[in-house]
Amino acid sequence: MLHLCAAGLGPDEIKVLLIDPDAANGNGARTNGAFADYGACSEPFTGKLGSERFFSTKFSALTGSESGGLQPWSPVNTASVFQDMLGFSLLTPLQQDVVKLMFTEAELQMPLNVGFRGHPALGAAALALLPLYKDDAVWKKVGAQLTKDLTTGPVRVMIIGSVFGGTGASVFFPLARRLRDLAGPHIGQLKIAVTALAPYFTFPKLESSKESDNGPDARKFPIATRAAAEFYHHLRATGAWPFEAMFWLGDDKPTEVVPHDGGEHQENKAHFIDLLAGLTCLDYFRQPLDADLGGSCFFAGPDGDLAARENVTTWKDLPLSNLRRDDVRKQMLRFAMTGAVHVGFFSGPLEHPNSELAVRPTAIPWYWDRFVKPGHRLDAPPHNASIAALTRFFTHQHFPWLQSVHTTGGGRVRLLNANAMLFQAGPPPQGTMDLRRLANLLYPDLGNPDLDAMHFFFCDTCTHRKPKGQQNAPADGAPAYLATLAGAAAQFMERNYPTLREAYNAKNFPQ
Amino acid sequence: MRDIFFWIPMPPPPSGYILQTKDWDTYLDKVALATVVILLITVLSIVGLYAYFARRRRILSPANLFQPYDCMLWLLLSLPAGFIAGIIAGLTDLPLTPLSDSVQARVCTGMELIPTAIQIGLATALPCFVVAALLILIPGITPPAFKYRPQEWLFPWTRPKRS
Repeated sequence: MLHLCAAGLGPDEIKVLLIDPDAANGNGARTNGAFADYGACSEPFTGKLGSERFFSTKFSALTGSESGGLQPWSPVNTASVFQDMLGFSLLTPLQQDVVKLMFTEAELQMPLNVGFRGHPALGAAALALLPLYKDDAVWKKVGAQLTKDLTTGPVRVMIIGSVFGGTGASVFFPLARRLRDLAGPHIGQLKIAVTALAPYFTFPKLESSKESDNGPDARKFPIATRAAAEFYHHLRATGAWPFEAMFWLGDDKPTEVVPHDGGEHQENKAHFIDLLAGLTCLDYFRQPLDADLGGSCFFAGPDGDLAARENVTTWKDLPLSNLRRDDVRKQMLRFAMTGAVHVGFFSGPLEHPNSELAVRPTAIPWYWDRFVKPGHRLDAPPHNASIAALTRFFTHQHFPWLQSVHTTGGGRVRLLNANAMLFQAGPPPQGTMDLRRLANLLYPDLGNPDLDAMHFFFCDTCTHRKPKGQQNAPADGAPAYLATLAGAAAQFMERNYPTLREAYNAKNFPQ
Repeated sequence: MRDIFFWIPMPPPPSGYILQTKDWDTYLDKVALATVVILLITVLSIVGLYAYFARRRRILSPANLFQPYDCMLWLLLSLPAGFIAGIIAGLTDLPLTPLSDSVQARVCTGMELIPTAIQIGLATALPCFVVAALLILIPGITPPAFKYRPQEWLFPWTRPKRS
């Protein structure tokens, strides 16, 4: 979702609450890094690009972090075992027997330092205690923020998580219930939806593990998913359904990942389901405020699969109802193209300490006209930090994510051209795009790289004009630079991607 | 047309001859016509070749931004143009009128016309260079990607200094 917002597809503001007992897990660290790098770009670019919407979403973390990253909130004391969290020793013998009826001895003794390890029941028990956290600093902030936002108008909340693991599967209902409690008299203004992720990855059972082990077991994913679905059905049947909508996403060919029992090594590559989930969120946020989704469940149909006679993900498969499919395609393409040219061409001359551009800034005419002459050099403070942040976001976050999204599904993702994505495994992983394929960044790969593509893009940067109106003009310095590249990318696409133009002009692209 | 060479003095005739004004005027008219044709062809050639090769020039990597702007070397076509104009000036007949009947009428030799030819050569090369350079500086002839390159090639002292 963060990457889609960077491409300009998000709303003006999103507040994020990350719940994960395994704060140190690799996925969390990557999310934290992406959040921090987006934040570094948000500072100079958000709201300063004129009519351009890249980085237009302002993210704020409800849990906060000194580094500007995303600190997860943990519902458990990670130094304890599960039975401590339940206050097992304080229960009467009869109550203890009830607990033992519901949880195995191994579960009761399970350390909570790496989360619930694929045990939704444990997570549900832990998160059922959410009301007890009313004095917790995070929940105080969540409550205050929610109340403040609800007084100004309707608030949409999207809860995203898997329904086959531990934390995610157990969080939907308790969290929705807690938020509704916090909303108090404004409950009518609060709309909560859920993106439920059915199994989309799997892993072999660890050789060292035994049947009785408490570690995650992918073989239990379908059962856990079914149990979750039955539980949500029960909520609907009993009128306890707190959701405006539930969006189901999954993959019938789960990707195999390396199994890890939580911790820093649990770092799964980004998956195209992540992209679909992000789009689902943004599409939900785009719903008109008076829209009534009736508490329905939604799933994405296999249009692309039928068309291609394969189990693939094409632009037609993206689950959209409010976002224009063509806009999504154009924005993702334009953002990738802008980043490719920045990372692959301009960042070097702008950032290298001994760059010849410092001596001969007229080598890039618009750089001289719009930046150096008026005193907004991009290789000097404060703009050099913004340029470095932009490079870092694309190189370390966006391009590795794009590459991962397009390759983890085994080549079944047919959105952008995976052959144009160049990847260098880390740490940290670095990505860029093949500038010779600027005119072929959309699937399929046409085979013959266009050696002149970069030249024509450079010419587009030279002919692109800064908007004259004060309202639509980007701020001077780094924002104007990014807007120049984005504008040139639009010109380049207009010329080199005729299918996009036809689709746009005809306005008949399937929604 | 001879007026374009208004400053060129009539060469001193060899002894025994006089150079009549009408012959000099006729000579200048012929050379001026040739010079104008050469100038037009050369300027058009320079600008055309420049525009063509500037458009063929590619910026594919940052290093290409700082490569020498060789397209401007087409301006040096002005030199052969001046040379050709000088040769034509030297080979064009300039009749000499003998002072007495015993001397045979003849035309000036090339050697006798060298000073004039040099002046005409220079008077051709220089305008070729200047006019072509001015045309090159007109926006549209130079691609926007190389907007400042001709100016810096012609007036290297205008290049911005490192701040």
